Amino acid sequence: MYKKIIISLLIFITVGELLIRFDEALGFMAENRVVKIETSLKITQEYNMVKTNSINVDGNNFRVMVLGDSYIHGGGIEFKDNFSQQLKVLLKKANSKFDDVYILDLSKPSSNTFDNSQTYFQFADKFKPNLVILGYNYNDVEGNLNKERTQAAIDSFTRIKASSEEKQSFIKKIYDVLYQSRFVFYVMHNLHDELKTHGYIFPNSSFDLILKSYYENRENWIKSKTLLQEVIDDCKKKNNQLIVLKFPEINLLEYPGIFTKADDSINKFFAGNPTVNYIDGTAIFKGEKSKDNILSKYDGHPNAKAHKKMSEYIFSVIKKITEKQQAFEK
Amino acid sequence: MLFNSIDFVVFFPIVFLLYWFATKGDIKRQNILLLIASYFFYACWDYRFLFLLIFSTLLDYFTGLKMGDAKNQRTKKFWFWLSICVNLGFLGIFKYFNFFASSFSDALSLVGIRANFWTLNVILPVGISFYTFHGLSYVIDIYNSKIKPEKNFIDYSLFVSFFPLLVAGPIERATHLLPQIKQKRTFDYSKAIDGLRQILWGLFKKIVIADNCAEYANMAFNHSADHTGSTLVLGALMFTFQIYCDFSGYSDIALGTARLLGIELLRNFAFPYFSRDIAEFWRRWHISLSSWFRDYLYIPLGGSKGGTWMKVRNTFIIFLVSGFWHGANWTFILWGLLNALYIMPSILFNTNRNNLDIVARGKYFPSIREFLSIILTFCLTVFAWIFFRSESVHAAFNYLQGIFSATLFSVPEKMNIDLIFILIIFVIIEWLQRTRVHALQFEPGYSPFKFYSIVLLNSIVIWAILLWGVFGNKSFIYFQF
Repeated sequence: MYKKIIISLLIFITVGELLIRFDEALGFMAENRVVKIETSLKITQEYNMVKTNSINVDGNNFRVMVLGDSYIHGGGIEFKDNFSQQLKVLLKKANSKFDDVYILDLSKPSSNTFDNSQTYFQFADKFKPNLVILGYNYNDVEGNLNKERTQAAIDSFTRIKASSEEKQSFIKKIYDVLYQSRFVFYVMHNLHDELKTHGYIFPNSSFDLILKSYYENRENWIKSKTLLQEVIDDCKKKNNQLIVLKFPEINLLEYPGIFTKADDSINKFFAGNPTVNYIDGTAIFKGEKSKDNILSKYDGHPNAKAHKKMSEYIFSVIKKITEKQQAFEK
Repeated sequence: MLFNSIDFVVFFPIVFLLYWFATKGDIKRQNILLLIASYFFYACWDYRFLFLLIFSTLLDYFTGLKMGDAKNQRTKKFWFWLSICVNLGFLGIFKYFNFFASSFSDALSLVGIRANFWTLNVILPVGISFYTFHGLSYVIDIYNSKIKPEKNFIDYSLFVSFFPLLVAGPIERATHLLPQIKQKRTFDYSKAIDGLRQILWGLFKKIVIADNCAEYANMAFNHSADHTGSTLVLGALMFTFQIYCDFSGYSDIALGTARLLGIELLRNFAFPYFSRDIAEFWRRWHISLSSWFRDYLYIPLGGSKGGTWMKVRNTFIIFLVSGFWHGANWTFILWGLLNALYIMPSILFNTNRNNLDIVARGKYFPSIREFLSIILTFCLTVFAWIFFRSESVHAAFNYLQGIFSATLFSVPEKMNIDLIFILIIFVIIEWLQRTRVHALQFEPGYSPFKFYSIVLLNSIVIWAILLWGVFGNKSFIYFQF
């Protein structure tokens, strides 16, 4: 009896291991997977204008630079519906004073804090933004943060790989070594995803380690703070307004308790910088249900509706903080 | 609560454990537990309609008792017709009222009279067509003195509301289910294993085949004007597999679940797409409904006893009623009519009972004649499903027009080769197992090699569900009927 059970279990695991590998290798039935979050980089008209110096950066126009990762770039939705494009519509509609409004969306899927600061310094002098909007995500502390910032040419922006794509973290490597078996990986991964949707985070899972980085003030968060401080200081020096929009994990809106400690650390850092207009994105979705704002319950990327809400909220903040506030009043 | 939901995964093991262990084999306790579980199961969908179910149960229970106690035929007739009218009245109001109001209004507008009828904005109570038919068969059987009225209210209520069959059948008969409810049930290991396998196969059909085919079928049917003829043909084929796997998958889960509780339900499907003619198809498709119509409509109307004309008339009546049973839409009626036309040659030439045996029994392959008959029957069925699936008759004709266009011989758009591959494997497995009740059924007492081969097959099916299934609690199509 026991022999039968053990052999049956072994058959089951072996079949699982083989079919998972077969599925991954051939992308079997990928057509019918429910949600596809496309995170390719979209290039805007403004980017090309900066490249060709077509924007009069000393003229009477309003220039906004948007930084961040796929959450603000609009992973999984049409680019025209993303945060920056919806904000552009609102600003253009309300503009009565400037000759034009330019939104340079430099957000890049998989970028981390290093990438965002690199992009900022790469474009700050060339674009001279009046306002910088940084979409901050919990996982921005992941990946390689210790690279040397270069004054890379603007042309290379689209070719540089984002850090979290470029190099796996030590934690990820350990994780991969432990879960070489695709069967174990599949089971653990799906179990974790399912539990996460119910507000449970596996101890020492990659998501748990990200949150711990903040409240245990780990090295990657310390380094992130240094990089963010450089951006904040530069904005202050150049008199650029800076809005930091911290994204909530939109699929977990119902479980704010998971993030309390990490949020406290992030809030504390930005509170120490009064020139920063820090917005905790959770406030934008207060009283909202996750399911109305997401692409999939297993993923925190906002849908088009959520991007619209965020752009409307930031638009109202811009109206309040801009010295040239009257320019956006109807 | 759906069979393919997490809720059911939690619900059923609790019921199962309580049923076999907490009741200590006491039939009374087992039935009370099953009745509570069944009402809970139904209330999870919408607790308000639970009252309708209980009312319908009470009505048939009391009218049954009254018919049993009736001192003369007149009194018996009165209670019988009261039950029939109230049952059909509820069905009419909840399911057909809007259809009749709008159809009557449309008919009047054709002769220049404009009339706006009051329409009801009601939700169709899930499973109303199924539990109403349970009740009807019960009172008809009592009226015809085939059975005696059930005195135990719990037992009768369980017959109507037994959760595996409550919302989408099979449509049970009092003669078949009530004796099992009253009988002591003991746990049978081999039956339980077979039940689990049937559930597994049902889940595979629903989650892997039906829900994946639905993606393509919906694309084709929702925007038929935008697609090529070949895409529409593939869309119709996908719907053909979708509806079969959806409905028979549900039935497999229902039968398997009931078997785990020691109850055998009526078989509802017997590999219908391997039928050699339409008469055989209808002996294999939704068997519990077809036999219901045969016993309670076709035979009372005279059946085939009154000569050819009566046979033709009665056949048309049952197919039209069957179409109408599926939904309040002209598309279903047309679908029924088409099937009546299909079956006519075998009625007229008296060949409708030619293919009673399983096709190519004992052989791996059918003969050429059998193969061609199967293909022809399958094509006719696909054609009829176009009417069944379309939103309106107009949309169905547009769909057909789209098929017979210049693009009929082009490569279908967005063809999912992986899914077609899975479908081929599925058809092969069903073909090889066509002599069984379900595709994962095996004879007990096998060698170790056969045992591990079965474990291997079951493992593949489980992993196929996990890897390629569509999760997200999609409703079963037959919930709407």
